[in-house]
Amino acid sequence: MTDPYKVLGISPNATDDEVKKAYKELSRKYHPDAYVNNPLANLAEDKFKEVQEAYTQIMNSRAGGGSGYSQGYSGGYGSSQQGYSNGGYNSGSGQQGYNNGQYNRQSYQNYGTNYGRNPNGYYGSGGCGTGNFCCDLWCADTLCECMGGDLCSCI
Amino acid sequence: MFGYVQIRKPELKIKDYEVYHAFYCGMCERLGTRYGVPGRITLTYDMTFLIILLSSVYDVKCRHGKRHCIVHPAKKHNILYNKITDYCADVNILLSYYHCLDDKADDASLKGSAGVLLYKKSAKKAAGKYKRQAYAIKQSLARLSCIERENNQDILKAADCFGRLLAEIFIYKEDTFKIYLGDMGYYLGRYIYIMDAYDDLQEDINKGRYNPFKTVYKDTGFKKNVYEMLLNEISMACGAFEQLPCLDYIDILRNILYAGVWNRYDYICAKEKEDLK
Repeated sequence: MTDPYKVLGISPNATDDEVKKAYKELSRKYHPDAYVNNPLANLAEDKFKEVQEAYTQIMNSRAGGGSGYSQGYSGGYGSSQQGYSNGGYNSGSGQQGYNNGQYNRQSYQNYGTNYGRNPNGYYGSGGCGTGNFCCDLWCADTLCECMGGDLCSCI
Repeated sequence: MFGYVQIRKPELKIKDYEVYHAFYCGMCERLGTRYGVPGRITLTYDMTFLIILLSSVYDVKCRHGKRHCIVHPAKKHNILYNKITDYCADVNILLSYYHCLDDKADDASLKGSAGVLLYKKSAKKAAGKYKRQAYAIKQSLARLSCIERENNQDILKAADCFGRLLAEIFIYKEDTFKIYLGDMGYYLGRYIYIMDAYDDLQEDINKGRYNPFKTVYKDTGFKKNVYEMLLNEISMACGAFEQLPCLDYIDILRNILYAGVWNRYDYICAKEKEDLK
């Protein structure tokens, strides 16, 4: 099989944005609409398909291999529960991610900060701390002892 | 749909807001041209998002114009529209029709009956053009209605129906990108359904209507669980979105997906905090 990076004319180290840009340029060049009533229409269509396949191949491989459509809606109408492994109501915090967890909740939250949302959402907002209650208690107790007091006598 | 997929205006650049607004006005214009005033009523933010998304994925060229409108008669507004706008207008009519049909069957409401009369002819035409989408809308709404009648409290089962409906609408055509668009629509649909159930919870309890959160809303950690569920769904939707070759309008799309979709949720939480004071 031909190297998808060669088809798009980019290096394997290209960023996702560069892959998308290369795809866009080539898809514009070979788009079937640009070859209506042209003797090269069939050739352009083949090339257009090749470019599309190269793009999806790269994106799927970067997202964790295999088909990028492994666990979602692709399950079709057959099984109603497919695509939702463990993020249900009762499980509280699910661990699922898109394409084997490459793109997950953490990525989403990190990205969200650029668009004006608190990365920890509503429930994680406010106050300061290490994220671990015991560690927070130890810190508070140490600080208290520095000032001559004792918050928790057993630590 | 429910209008949850909207922009976070303070975070959007003015140039991007103008483009978004032009797409919104373009959708209104095309709905008006194709279906008259009843069509314009169906205008939603959610569909504007879909127009921008599909225009970006498929690199569809837009036509630009300036129009007066009923709501703002004094000033001409920029409009942007393309073949995707027409697709979304048709699908919007289908959604409205089947929604009204559902309302009519459920409680014989006047609103439902009026809607069926208004949209029947247009919906028939649109259904002929988009058979796959029309079938999915019909099937999913029928399943949802059945779940409601059974008073099934499994939120995921109900959300799944809406996810499948939106997935078929997001799949504009059968090509290599249908896998990503299908996934994105599916998870975004589930997100919208869960958000809607959470948003309407108090009202549904007061009016004795169906709501899948009715039996669990008093549980400890309920709100946190809902937040986690929403986060799961939208993360999955964005995972699929980031695989699509979107370059045009990317800031608008990300503003919606990473911040705007939480507008209603943040508003509910802020209101709860205020009420507690």
